[in-house]
Parts: sequence; structure tokens; C-alpha cells
Amino acid sequence: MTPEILGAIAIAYVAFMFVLAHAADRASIAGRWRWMDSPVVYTLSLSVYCSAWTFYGAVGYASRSGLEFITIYLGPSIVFAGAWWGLRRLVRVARMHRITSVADLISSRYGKSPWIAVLVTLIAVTAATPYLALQMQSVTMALGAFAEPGQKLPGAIPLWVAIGLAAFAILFGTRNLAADERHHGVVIAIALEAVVKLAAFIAVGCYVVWGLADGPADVLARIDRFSTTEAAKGWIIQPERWAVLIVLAGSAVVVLPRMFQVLIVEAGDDDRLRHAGWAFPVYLLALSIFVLPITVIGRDLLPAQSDPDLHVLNLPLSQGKDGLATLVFLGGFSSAMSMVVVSAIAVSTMVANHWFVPFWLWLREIPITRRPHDAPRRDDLRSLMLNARRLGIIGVVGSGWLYHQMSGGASALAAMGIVAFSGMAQVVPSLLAGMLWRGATRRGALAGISAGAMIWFVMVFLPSLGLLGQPQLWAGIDPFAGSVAIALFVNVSLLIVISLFDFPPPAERLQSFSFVNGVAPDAAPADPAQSATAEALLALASRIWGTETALRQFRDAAEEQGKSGFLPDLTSRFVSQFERALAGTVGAATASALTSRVLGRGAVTVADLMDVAGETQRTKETNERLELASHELARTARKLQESNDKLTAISSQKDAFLGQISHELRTPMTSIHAFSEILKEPDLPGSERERFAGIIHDEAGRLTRLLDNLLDLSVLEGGQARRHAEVVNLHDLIERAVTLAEISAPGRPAQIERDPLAEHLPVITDPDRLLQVLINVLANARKYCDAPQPIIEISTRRHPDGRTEIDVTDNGSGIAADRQTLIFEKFARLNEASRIPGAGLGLAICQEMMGFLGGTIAYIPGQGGACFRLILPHLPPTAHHPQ
Amino acid sequence: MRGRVPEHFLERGAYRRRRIEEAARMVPVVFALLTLLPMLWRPAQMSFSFGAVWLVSVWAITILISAILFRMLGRSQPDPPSADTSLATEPADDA
Repeated sequence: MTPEILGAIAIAYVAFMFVLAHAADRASIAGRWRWMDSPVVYTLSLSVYCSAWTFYGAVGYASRSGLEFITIYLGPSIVFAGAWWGLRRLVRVARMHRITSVADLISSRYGKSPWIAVLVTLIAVTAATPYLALQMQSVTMALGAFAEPGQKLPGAIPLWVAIGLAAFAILFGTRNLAADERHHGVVIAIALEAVVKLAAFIAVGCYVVWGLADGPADVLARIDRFSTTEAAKGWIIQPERWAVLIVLAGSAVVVLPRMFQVLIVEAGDDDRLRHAGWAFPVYLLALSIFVLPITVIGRDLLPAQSDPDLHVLNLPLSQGKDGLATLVFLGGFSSAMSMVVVSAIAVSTMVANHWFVPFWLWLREIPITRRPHDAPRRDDLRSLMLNARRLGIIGVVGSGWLYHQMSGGASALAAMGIVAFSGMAQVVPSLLAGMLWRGATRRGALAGISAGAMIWFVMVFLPSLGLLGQPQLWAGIDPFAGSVAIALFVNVSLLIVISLFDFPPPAERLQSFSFVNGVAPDAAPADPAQSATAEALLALASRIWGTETALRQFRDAAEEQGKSGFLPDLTSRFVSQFERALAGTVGAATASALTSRVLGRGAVTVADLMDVAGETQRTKETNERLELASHELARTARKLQESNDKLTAISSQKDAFLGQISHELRTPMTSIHAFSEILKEPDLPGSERERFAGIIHDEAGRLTRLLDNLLDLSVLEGGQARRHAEVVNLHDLIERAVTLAEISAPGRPAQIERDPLAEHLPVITDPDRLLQVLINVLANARKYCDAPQPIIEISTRRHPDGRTEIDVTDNGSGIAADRQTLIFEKFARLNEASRIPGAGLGLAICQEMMGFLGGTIAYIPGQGGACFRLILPHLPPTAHHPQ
Repeated sequence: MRGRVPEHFLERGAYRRRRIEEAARMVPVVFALLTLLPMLWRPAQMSFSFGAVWLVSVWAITILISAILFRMLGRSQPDPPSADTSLATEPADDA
């Protein structure tokens, strides 16, 4: 087995992971995700805790310090034994607030403070960089173990590892921007890698215990024999290190960016912790039980100068077991790969959400409330976020690689796992206090974390790089354990003392109430409902999530309130739900800033706070049934109110219409009457006679058209019309509609933007009716678009279920929200005083016709201008048989 | 002030469930003490084979007990909201 073949195997393995992740992503899009969303997959994905540092390094660690290595597994097992009441609470609160990262959690708890998020991200990046370098180092070292003595490996291996893993993270970690940060493809891949590394380690363990030694009893005897030698001094447990390491490992399993990602962000619900609570410790036990046997047997069988970090690999290699060694290599590679990919995704999310995006928004002052008409794309913020994350991944993995190149050696890297643990542990006091103590404040947390991190940086991080000497504390106390204890002590003291003297602002007290009591209070009471602002919120959401997702969210919210259409009332419940959903994408601090900017909402006042707190308390005590009933009542009332409003408006419009229609009918009648009177005159010149007859003819034509329209409508409504379904090319139909609309509404030149390629779709429908609808909508856009240079955009799209969508969007000022529900009614004319002639039947006819074709027509708000969406079914409804 | 009189006594099923919850809360504390105290008290004796066997046994027993407790908690949990009672009944401190 040569390093070249191994490299090829590794590449094939990565390629397989790409395929697997891709398939899982597709399955989740198609809704076949449920079987993969099981507690087993969740538990396996948690194994990303065991990086290459634990896979190879555990034996090296045990060889140097004996049983101490096991603290790295014991800490998490203790935390998971309490999963049911500790972690479950954390997962529940984090899901309630749509937390995206550990920095986001701390920031959200402490009043959505952007600065805490910036600080926590800084610690995470500092701690993660050398840790990532260590993973790349492990792959090179493992390949080196397979090389012949004296054979030089190419120096670019870490670079290719970094490029491959960054590509994986970018492809599957930044594919879309959802309201929850879950990555199904990545989770499935790391779950499978968890199986590979466990199988590899158990295989080599069994081989060592039963193949090389004579079973467990022999291994224990060898350990006892070893304990009498001089080298066993290093194995004696140092109590202060033991305690500190268990605490650190227990903290790390929650707050390390990659662990937070898989444990909390990717968790679909909190019930799975009931299973993971015992299954994950089983995984850790299985992975650690063979460490000590491999250590002692390696010590007995391998030459003294061989690197104990590679015993796992060298033991099977020295016995000529190439197949087993290859499996072990894949296990180690899996550990490195899952760690790098998940870390890159987690840290880059933090970097993008808490560094890049806020900075960019601050720098550019992007106009939030309304999309500028010349904006190049509708989802510009979304691509900004995704690109920020991609940049973050490249930055994070790249700095790991750079660090690896600069440090160059293994010795400085070996302790990096523990150093990273102790760095992230500085976040734990604020996290725990945030979940348990309502009195913990932002200033206290900020002071505690920064002081702790500073001490950690000087006393632990820099010495670990060899840039500073180990600090000499009291004699007999381990410098590492002592430094960590000092950092944590200062951290906790500052947090408590400053919090005790502090008085937090109302917005922060609201968050602390929510986190400690596990309830979701509604945000500050919003201004009285203004649908104009709801539309602005929708426009903002479209720019971040893309139009479809945003529309879906808004429609659901409106439905829940018992309203139709896409614009829900701005109740405080809706606003806080919206803000939390947004936080699931951009982080709490940015979401809060964006929402307040759109709503023009001021800070929360103490009075609001009392209101909210009182309300929450009362709600808790209210009988659930009563609450449900009143909810239902409110919904019905709102529905009634809505239809009442509509009826009143229609009734007045009907009166206006009757006046209008009489007027429209009377004008041609009057002129026909008058001119036919004149025609009766015997001595009229021939040319005059011709002219008057022409006028009568035109006016009669106008009358006919008007009556045709009315007739059309009644035929469609009466259900007596017949359909002539045939297959047509949508492109041809649109082409004709554009030409005809130009004739029917001349005089206003408009630029038509189309995508001819996407338009070539065969549809089965009644072409005449569809053509009429298209002409109507296009003519409307030409008539009513009030932009100085009208642009009409036509886009078409075919859904997987066979539906066809046609969007016609103009760049005018759109339709006011309070009129949007009325436009499809008969007799509706938006601006009574308009100079544009017409009886207001166009859209009513369109709606009837689309219904007749089995489709729908809807007004889509928040698109910058007026946007009408026609949806055609795959097949027109089967013709009903008229009697 | 609460509008409703808090329940002082529970029927058998809920009573049993409370006790299981308390046991589940105790497991990590006991586990932590069993892995910490012997090591702090007699580091020299616990550093080799006896320590390894001790840790692995304690660990395996803890896993077994927590698996049983979590399973019982899941089974006696017909409706999700009831899991909230422990949070909801905690008195609110400053408001």
C-alpha cells in the first residue's frame, strides 16, 4: 500500500461523500427526509466531537499522560447524562429564538447585542484556526506512515485537503438560505463518517486486544507491569488537571462551534436528546475503551522512537495488515473531514452574520424599506449573505492552512485541542448564567468574557504556540490547569459582580425573561396595523429568502390571522415571529436592526415591558380551551370584518359602476341618435353623410364591445362556456398577446423584458381564453404603470408538479394594499378620476377565465411594482356536461 | 398572585413521573462525583488498571441507568405540554 493508492482511495471516498450529501439534499427537498431525521442520525452526527485529534491523538495522549486522555470523553458523557433537563432546555430555547450559532445565542440572550456576538466570534476564530491546522496535519502524518523510509511526500497535500474540504463545505453548507440553519446533506455525510471511524477504531482495537495480546486480562496485566517502571511517573493523575479537563470537555461539547451546530442548530426537535442522552456516551465509551490497550501494546511491540500519535496506524502496518491500516486511515480521514467541514460552516456562519453582514449594512446603508427600481436582482441581500458565508469558509479553512504552513511542525500543534476547548469555555459562564439567572446582564457578560478571553490568550494560547513562556504559578500546580482556573474565576466574578450592580434596558430584560422561563413573549407592541409597512417587511423578506419562500411565510401568517392574501396585520405576535424567523438566517442582532429599520420602531419602553410580562403571565394562567375559543372568535370576527369591508366597498363601487355603465352606454347611444337624426336631412353632401355614418358605425362597435364583455362575464359565471383544450407553445401565445396588447393600448411605449428560452413551454389549455387574459393583463400594465419609462417583465416557470406560472410585473408604484383585495371584483376601477377609459371589467373577466381554465390569477405584493401571477394547471379540468 | 390554587398533591402517574424526573436529574451529579472524588482522593492508586476498570464500569452503569430513565420518561409522556410543568410552575423572580 503506497501513499499514492491511499490518496486515490481518499479522493474516491470524498467523491462518494459528495454524491451521498447531494442525494440527501435532494431527498430533503423532495420531502423524503423523515427517515433520515432520526435520533440515530442525530447521535451519529454528534460524533463530529471526535476529530482527528482524538482519533490518532488519544493514543499519543495516553502514552504520555495515561488515563488523563479519558477526561476528554468523560466530560461530554456527564453533560449528556443530564441531557433530559439541561441540554433539552437549551435546545428548546435556542429553537424558539432560531439561534444560528453560539455567538448568536449569547448575543440574543443579552439584548441582541451585536458587540458580544463580535467578541464571541473572535474567540471562536482564534481557537479554531490552529485546531483546523491540526486536522490537515493529521492527514499528512497518516499518509507519511505509509511511505517507504526516505520517501518524500509532495508538500501540497495539506493545500489539496483544504481546497477539497472547503469546496465540500461551500457546496453543501451554503446552498440555500433558509429560516433555519439546517444542512441535511452535511449531516448525513458526517453520520456515515461517524460509522466509518467507529468501525475502524473498534476493528483495530479488537485486533490488538485479541490478535496481538491475549485478551483483556493480558492487557490489564501489561498495564500493571508497566506501572512499576520509571516511565509510569507521567501516568500518575494530577487531580487539578483531572478536574479542570473534565469541566473543559463538558463545556466544549456544547460551545465548540461545530458541536453547537450539530447539537443545537441541526436538531429538528428536543425529544431526540432523550435517545442521544445515552447513545452518544455509548459511542464515546466504544471509542475510548481500546485506547489504553493500543497504548500499552504499541509501547511493547513498536520501536521506542516511533510516534505514539500514530500507534493506531503503525500497529497494523508493522504486522503487515494493510487492509486494516487502510480502514484506520479512512477512519482518521473521516474524523478530519467532518471536523473541518462542520467547523468551517459553523464558524463561517458566525463570521458572516456577526462580522461581514453588519459591517456591510453599516457601510452601505442599503435602502431597506423599498427596493430601488434599478436594483439588479430581487434577492440581492440573499446573495450577499451567501457570498459572505462562502468567503467566511474560504477564510476560515485558508487561515487553518496558512497556520499549518507557518508553524510547520507537529509538536506545537499537539496541544491545540485542549487550547481550543479552554478558549471556547470562556463563553460558558455567560451561557449558563443566561439560561438560569435573570439578573445576568449584557455588561456583566461582556466584561466576563473579554477578561477571561484575554487571560486565556496570554496565559494559554500564546504559550501553546511557543510565543510566550509557560506562566509559573504556585509550585506543584499544573500551569495549564492553573491558568484556566484563573481565567474562569475572573470571568465568573466579573459577570456576577457587574450584573449585580447593573440595571439592564427593557429590551434585554425581555430576552432574559424569555430565556430563563422558556417562553416566547411577543416583541414590543407594534404600531397600529399598516399594511403598507407589511408590504415593506415582505419586500425585505423577499430580498433575503427569495420571493417564493417569503410569500409562503407571509401567506401562512395571514391565513393564521384569518385573512386572505399575502399581507398579514402587523400584530405584535406576527412582528416577533417574523423577527425570529429572520434571526434564523442573519442572527438576532441584525434581524432586530433590520426589522426596526423597516417598521421605524423605537426602543422598547419599561411600560411596554410591564405590559408584555403581565400578558405572558396571564396567558399562562388562562384556561387553554377558553384561549382557543377566543382565538377562533377573533379569527371569525376578522374574517367577517374583512368581508364586510369588501361588501361595503363593492356596494359603493356598484353604484359608481351603474352610473358609469349608464354613462358609457348613453354616450354612444346619444351620438348614434343625434347623427342618425342628421342623416335624415335630405340635402346632406355625400362626404358628410359618409363621415356621420362612419361615426355611427364606430359608436355601435363600442357598444357591441361593451356588451360583449358583459356577456362574456355572465357566460363564464354561469358555467355554460365550452373549453377547446389543445397543446400550444406558451412563447407563441405571449408573442401574440404582446403584439395585440400594443394595439389595444397604444400611445404609451413600454419596454417589454422577456426570457424567450424559458417561455418555450408546451401547455394544454384553451388558447383563445388564455390569450385574452394575457392581453388584458398586459394592456392593464401598459395603461396603469406610472413610471416615466415603463418596463414590463414577463417571466414563466414550470413547477415539478406540472403547474405553469406566468408573472407579469411592471415597474410602477403598484397597487395600494387596501385596494388589493378589490381589484378582481367586477366594476372595480382603482382611480375613479382616471383619464383612462374602460368599465373596470378586465380583471374580473381575467379571474373568471382563469378559473374556467382551472387556474388562478393573483396579485403579488412587494415586488416593486404591480405583479400579476397566472397559474395554469397541468391539465384543464374535464369539461362538465351542460344539460 | 396566581389566579388558580396550585396543586399540592398529584395522582399516581404524575407522582411517579416527578420522581423519575428527579432521578434523571441526579444521574449526572452522581456520575460526576464518582469520576472525580476517587481520582482526587487517591490519584496514585487510580492511575493504572484499577482506575481504568473503575471508570469504564461506572460509565457503563451510568449509561444503562440513564437509558432506562429516559425511556421511562418518554413512555409516561403522552402529551408534550406536560413536560413544561416544571418550567411553568417555577415562580417568576423579578419582573
